[in-house]
Amino acid sequence: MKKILPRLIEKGWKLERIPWWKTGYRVDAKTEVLTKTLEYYLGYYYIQEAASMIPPLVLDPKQNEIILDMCAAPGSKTTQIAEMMGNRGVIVANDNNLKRLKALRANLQKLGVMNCVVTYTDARDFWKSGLKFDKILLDVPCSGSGSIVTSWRIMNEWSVRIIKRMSRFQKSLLVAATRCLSKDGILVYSTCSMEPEENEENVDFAVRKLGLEVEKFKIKNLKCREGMLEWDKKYDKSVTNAVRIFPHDNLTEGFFVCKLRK
Amino acid sequence: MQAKKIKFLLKREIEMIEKVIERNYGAKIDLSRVAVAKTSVDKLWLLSKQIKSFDLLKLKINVLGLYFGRLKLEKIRLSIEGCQLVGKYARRNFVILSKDEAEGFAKGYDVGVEKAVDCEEGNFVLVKCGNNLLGTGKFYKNRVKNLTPRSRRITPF
Repeated sequence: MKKILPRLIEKGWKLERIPWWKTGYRVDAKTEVLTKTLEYYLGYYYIQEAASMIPPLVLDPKQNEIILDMCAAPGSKTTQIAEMMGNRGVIVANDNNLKRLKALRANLQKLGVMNCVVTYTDARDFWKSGLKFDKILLDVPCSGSGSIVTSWRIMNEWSVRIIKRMSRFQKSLLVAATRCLSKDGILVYSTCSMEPEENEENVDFAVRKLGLEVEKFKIKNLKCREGMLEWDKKYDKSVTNAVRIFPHDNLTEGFFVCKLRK
Repeated sequence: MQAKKIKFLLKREIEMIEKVIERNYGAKIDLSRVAVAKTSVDKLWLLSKQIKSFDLLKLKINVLGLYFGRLKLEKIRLSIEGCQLVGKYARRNFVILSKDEAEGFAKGYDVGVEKAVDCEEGNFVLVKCGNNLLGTGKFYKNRVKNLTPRSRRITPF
């Protein structure tokens, strides 16, 4: 970081450190500009939404642990996990979209990740491998309504039908992830959606049907709000331990994160 | 990439690779802290040691570890990341580019060199610009043929 920061400042970029992660910086420049530099070509930095740096912090991976990133592509969270693990231990980064896998591979290579195995499996079938993991990151595909602040296209595609369908799909992923989790293991569930059906409802499902426990967590310098307790129906009380991140609180996209223990 | 086709190299095989690197680039590097795997067409991958003891046969593997380079007879064509690991210790077969040439190289162009250090004609060379290690090229008549993968190149505006 000491070497790269002066080089980026020299380009006239205004960098502002993200309060909750030591190597994250906010840059006021267009993505096209950010991806055309020698430093980007060399893999000295990676571009991602600030809020998507939160789930790996909740996961808190340690060196020598075995971690599964179930829906990994394009790899922003996987590379962050690898950085936090100091390139040790094992990360299994899975996805079932070949185009997105290509991006995942390229990003892992560019950032020099050595502790990662990339797999191509439908996440719902991953449990068939019989492998158990210390920690699992389940950043599920979602309606993306938290991203409206940066992409208005999401609003045009929004519908209750899509949300209901997504919610069902996410529950099936939660079932598969629970099967892959070792006893006392940690599962971090996250979405970039603001819909209770994709968030609190699924956490409630994980508590009631899968027997997982919701753990409280706190990230220094990040303003979070409790999970909702009611939407159409009442949820388990522990759902309030999950966290909603609203765009106006931290100048990020909207996000939902929950830490579950088996 | 099938798990069955991934071969983890033994200590003496890793030492042989270290020797190939030393012969080609004059760099003494120690690969004993990582696991090294070989797949088809002599592609070499660096991995954390814990991956070696992980049950890979149960997985449908797409790729694993960091692509380090490819053995070609007694030569080795390093990836950009392989070049970054080896380059700082290199004493031969490396070229130094000016800033403009470096940007041209990152865009995928063949470039002329500012300085060539003990470069063999037709061999792979590591490409440097200041402290930046840009990748590998092939050296011909004081020029470097660009071997940067298309997907990695900087595309013009």
